Parts: sequence; C-alpha cells; structure tokens
Amino acid sequence: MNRFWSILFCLVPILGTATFVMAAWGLPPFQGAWLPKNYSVAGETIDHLFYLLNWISAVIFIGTGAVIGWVLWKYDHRRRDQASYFSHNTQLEIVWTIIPAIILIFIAFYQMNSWAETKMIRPTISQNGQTINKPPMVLVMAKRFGWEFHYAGPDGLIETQDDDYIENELVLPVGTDVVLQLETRDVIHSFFVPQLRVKQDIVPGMKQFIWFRGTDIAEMDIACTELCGWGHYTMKGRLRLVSQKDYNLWLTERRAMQTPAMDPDDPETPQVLEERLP
Amino acid sequence: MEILRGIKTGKLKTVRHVLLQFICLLGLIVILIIMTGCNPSPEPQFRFNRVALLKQEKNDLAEGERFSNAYQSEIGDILTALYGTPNEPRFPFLLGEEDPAHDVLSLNNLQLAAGPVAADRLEKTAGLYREHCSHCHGITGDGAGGTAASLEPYPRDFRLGKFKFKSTPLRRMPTNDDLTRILKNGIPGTAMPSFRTLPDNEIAALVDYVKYLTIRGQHERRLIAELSNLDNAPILDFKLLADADEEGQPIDEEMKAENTETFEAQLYTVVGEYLAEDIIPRWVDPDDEISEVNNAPAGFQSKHPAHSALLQTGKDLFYGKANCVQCHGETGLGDGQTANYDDWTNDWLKTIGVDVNQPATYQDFMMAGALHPRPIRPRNLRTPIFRGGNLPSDVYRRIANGIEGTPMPSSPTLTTDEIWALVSYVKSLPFEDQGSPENELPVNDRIVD
Repeated sequence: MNRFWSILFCLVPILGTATFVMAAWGLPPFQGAWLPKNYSVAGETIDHLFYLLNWISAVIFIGTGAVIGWVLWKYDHRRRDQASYFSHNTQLEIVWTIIPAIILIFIAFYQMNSWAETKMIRPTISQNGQTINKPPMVLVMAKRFGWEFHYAGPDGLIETQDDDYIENELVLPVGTDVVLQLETRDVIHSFFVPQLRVKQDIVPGMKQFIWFRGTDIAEMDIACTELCGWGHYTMKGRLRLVSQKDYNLWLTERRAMQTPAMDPDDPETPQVLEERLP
Repeated sequence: MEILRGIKTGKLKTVRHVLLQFICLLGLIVILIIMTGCNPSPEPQFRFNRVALLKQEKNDLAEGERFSNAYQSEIGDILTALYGTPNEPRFPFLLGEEDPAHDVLSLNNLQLAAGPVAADRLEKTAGLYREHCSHCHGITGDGAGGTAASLEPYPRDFRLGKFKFKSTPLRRMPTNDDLTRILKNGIPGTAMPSFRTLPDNEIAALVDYVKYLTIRGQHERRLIAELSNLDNAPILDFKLLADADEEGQPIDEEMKAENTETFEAQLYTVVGEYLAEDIIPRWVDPDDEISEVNNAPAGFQSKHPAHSALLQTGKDLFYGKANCVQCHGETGLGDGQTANYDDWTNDWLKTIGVDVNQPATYQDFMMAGALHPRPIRPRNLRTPIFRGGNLPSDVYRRIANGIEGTPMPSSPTLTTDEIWALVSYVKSLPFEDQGSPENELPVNDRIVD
C-alpha cells in the first residue's frame, strides 16, 4: 500500500500507451480499431502526417508520464514529508515554451502542402487552351436523412436539365481526380469517408468542394458525422470505387434509362448510347 | 474528504475503508440495474382503427349513438386469428399450398421483418420493420409512429390500400418492383429515406411486410364498414355452435345443422368474401396491369431540332388543355390551389358534421388517433426532384395515370405526344433560362403568357 498512489497514477499513461499499441497492432480486443485501409492518393500523405503527429505525441506523452511517475515515486510523502518550494525558474520556463513552439511551427509548415492539396488547390483541366478548375462530377446533396447524388449529364455540368440523381449510392471511377460539390437541403451535415481520408462539413447556403483520386476498386460506407437529428444514425450511403471502364458502362446504363424509348421507325431518332462520355 | 484526511494523517486504513465503501456502492448500482433495467418492455400490439370506427358511427348511426363496445375486441380477435401479432405474424392462406396469396407474400419474409429488432450478436435477421420503419409508419402501419406528427408530408397510412407512386393505373395495386423501388430510392422531397444499403432479401422482406400490413388494414376497414348492417349482432356468432340453448336445453339436430350453416355463412363472408374474393385478387399479379409508356417523339432529345417546338407545345398544354396551372400555379411553384386534402385525410374529414375550419367538430377524431389535417400541396415543379422518380417514364406515368390518393388526375384526353411534351416542359422548368428579361423578375411576379 506504500506506493499505492504513485502506482495508480502511473497506470494511466501505461494503460493509455498499451491501448494505443494494441489497437495499432490489431490485438484483441481492439481488432479493427485502427485506421481503415486507405484508398486515396492524398490519403497517403494524410496517414503519414497522422503517424508523424502520433509519434511526436507519443514521445511527449511517454516522457512527461515517466517524469511525473518518477516524481511521484521518488518524493513519496513517507520518505519526505516536506516538499521543497521555489517560485519560478526563468531558464526552465524558456525551455518549456521554446521546445513546444518549435514543434508546433514545424508541424504548421510541414503539413501546409498537404492541407493546400486536399482543401485549397482543386485539380484543374485544360479547356480551350485555358487551365480551369475541374468541374464537379457529382453534386452531393445531403438531407435529413440521406444523400442525393446528382450526376452531371452528357453536358458534363451539374445542376442542369440532363442531371441524373440517385439516392445513397455513389459510383466513382478510380485513377482519376474526382471533384464533388457538397450542399445540404436543411441542417449541417458532414460527408465522411474514412477509407478516402475525407471529411467535410456541409453548411446550409454554402457550396463545399472536395476532391480525391481513388487508388483501387473497393466498396465503402459514406457516413454523416455531424449530429443532424434523430435519424442521424441512418444517414449512410454506399460508395463504390470502380474502374474507369465499369464507370463508363454504369453511366451509359443510367443515361439510357434517362432517355425514353423512341419510335424506332422515325429516321430522326438519335442513337443515344453514342453520346459523349467523360 | 475521507481520502484527504487519510492522506494527511497517513492513516492508510481509512483509504482502504473508503475503497471498500466505493466497491459496495458499485455493487449496489449493479444490483439495481439488474433488478430494474432488464424487464422486457411489453409486447407491442396492433392498434385498432378507431378513426374508421368513429367515421362509421358518425355516418351511419343517429347522433350520439355508438356501436357495441364488443365489436372492438371481436374485430381484434378475428384479425389476430388471421394475421397473428406484431411478434408472430400469420397469414390466412385459406387454400393451403394452392392459395393465390402465396404470389402476394411469403410467410418467411414476414417473419424476417416482424418481431423485435434482433441484436447483431444473435447473428440472425429479424425485426426489420421495427428497426427501419415503425418509428414513422407505426407498428400497425397506420402512419402514426412516434415521429409522424412532425413530418411533412405525414408518413403513409398503409391501411387504405392506396399507394402513390406505382407503374399501375389508379385503383390498382402497386407491383413488387414499384414498392422495391420506393424502398431503394426513398421519396425525394419527403422524410422517406433510401434503404439502398440493405441487402435485397431484407428489402423483399420489408416489401412483403408492407403488403401484409396493408391487407390487414384493408380487411379491418372492411369489417368496420360492415358493422352498420349487423344491428349490434356479433360478426361471428359463436353461440350458433353451442350444443344447448341459453336455458340449457339441448338443441335438436335439424336446428343445429341450420345453426352451423348460418355460422359457416358468417365465416365465409368475413374471410372468403372480404379477403379471398375482394382484397387478395387485387394484389395478385399487378404486373399484368402495368400501364405502358409509349414511345417518345424524337424531339424529346434536348439537342434535336424539334425540341423547342415540343417544349412550346408542353407549355401551351400546361396553361391550356391539360390545365396543370390550376393546381401547380402560374409559375409552377405549386401554389395554384392550397385547400385540397389527400385521400388519407379526406377519409375521415368528409364525415358528416366535420368542418375543417372548426377544430371542435373533429376533436374526437384527433382523440381517436387521426393526425391534424393539413392541406396537400401541389408539387413545386421548379425543384429538380420528383418524388416518384425523375426518369422521363416516371413523370410520364404520373401525368398519364395521375397520382393515387391525391387531387392529381389521370389524363385520358391527352395523346402520347402531348404527354411527352408536358414531361419535357415540366422537366425543363427548374432549369428555365434565367437570361430572358421575364425570368429576371422574382419568380412570383413573372408575367405568364
């Protein structure tokens, strides 16, 4: 019982670190508690940043934990019932201000490119000799409680008459930059796809843009991660990353559905399926 | 305080004592949780259609008169015998394996959808209806679940047997594909979400369960509707099967045979006539009734030279022959008329003595479980979403067939090309060119030709 309190307080950093390590290794009971597999190009940078920050935090956390534990152990009141007292130490204060400041400034500069790439510099295309922002492929309309995906029609633009919409299923091609325009019909929602390392709040009255480049064929869930009402938990969509060929095929099928059957004998009936695809 | 004092005085025994107290308290909490928290909530029951009963009473009986109270439990007993309970659904397949109702729904599907929500750890699927549907549509499918009153439009009450968005004409039942599509797509513009992420077998189970609740509700309404003809006699008079009369005298054989025959006739009316001959046949093979969507004119293509002429035809029809403007408004905002009610509300709102402007006249309906009457709003055609689906064929069917349960009529007088012109025009409305001067006016002030 002698060392009861020092041991109890030391258990906090020890168990905390152990939980982290077990989760990272996928040891029971923490299987699947770590990051899901990444399917986005930018996700690699984000994961790299995540691990870097984790390591920095781990070193600081374990270091401070060890120091506090050692102090508790060493200066147990049984051994010394009178603690020494001093009011301040300028040298020490300078050190513990400068070191964290350096770390924070390093992080701020180190992550700048990645932030810009995922949030500010939208992929571009060249059109008529000019470089313009890539137009969004899909308008994601969040609502209580579901996702509407408005696909651009043959004109390649969203919010036009030839749009097609589908609920709770988003099909996107891999290996190409996908730009999504996010809007909401009612309250604040948040578009979250952990496998793509994408999370973006959607605010009423605002248009948000997100972009990513899928790396592999996969199926994943889209979750709303902003509490939006009683049905928040039901607000789940399915995202299918497919090859460009399958995507074109799927799009052709959707567009064929958008076009009603026409009189086959009418010489003016156009061949719909040959319409331009992106 | 105890701990602090223990530390201060170094009496570690006190610390031990406090720990002991803490553990005792924890144990007490666990015991309390076990005692109070683990009682299962009572099994839910189907709710009796009191609104239909009240309507029947007001329409058919003299002022203040009521049907015998016994009817409520008798109808409940009959329905439970035929359809089971929310936990254990049943279906009256009267002809056994040969019964045509097998084409309508399967008992396996009902069992998948009924019952309490199965936890994931049970590794079985059950309770799908209660997991996904009942909070809006209610356990009984009466469209009066917990969230119903706060939704606009109200969730569907299945018991009238009317479905809005289907490929069959008015007064026909929807096909399996129609119901599946609604579940997969949801109904954009309403609170009905999409259940596309559910596996196909679960969607099929829910479709069957919706049909089951509908048939049960239709049957219940049919029984209630016949009460006026019974003169307070029981629907099924089990006394007819007794071996002795009320004074204990044995009934002679001839009389008994006659009584049995009367009882069987009553039973036949209730189950055979109402259900097997009336309700079920309308549900069998609705696919045969699917209305055809005729070929569209080539001008439907937006790049086709005849497209603008088709749009103009559609516009002329909108304001002229088809008279869409009457309800959908001069600007298509859905503000033409705003005083109509849908069939689910009109069902009881049209009762003798009820005046929608005087809430006191329908207070008893509210007490019986009806939702506050709200006028049905014609669709705002300037938003690019269509509740029944945005495919041209969907819009075509809405115009050609009308929408069940709403003031939207079918249009038998329009030709195929005229309907396609309207489809084309209606689909172009949300994206009408904003460049022309007329359209720069606020949408309500636009001059309409």
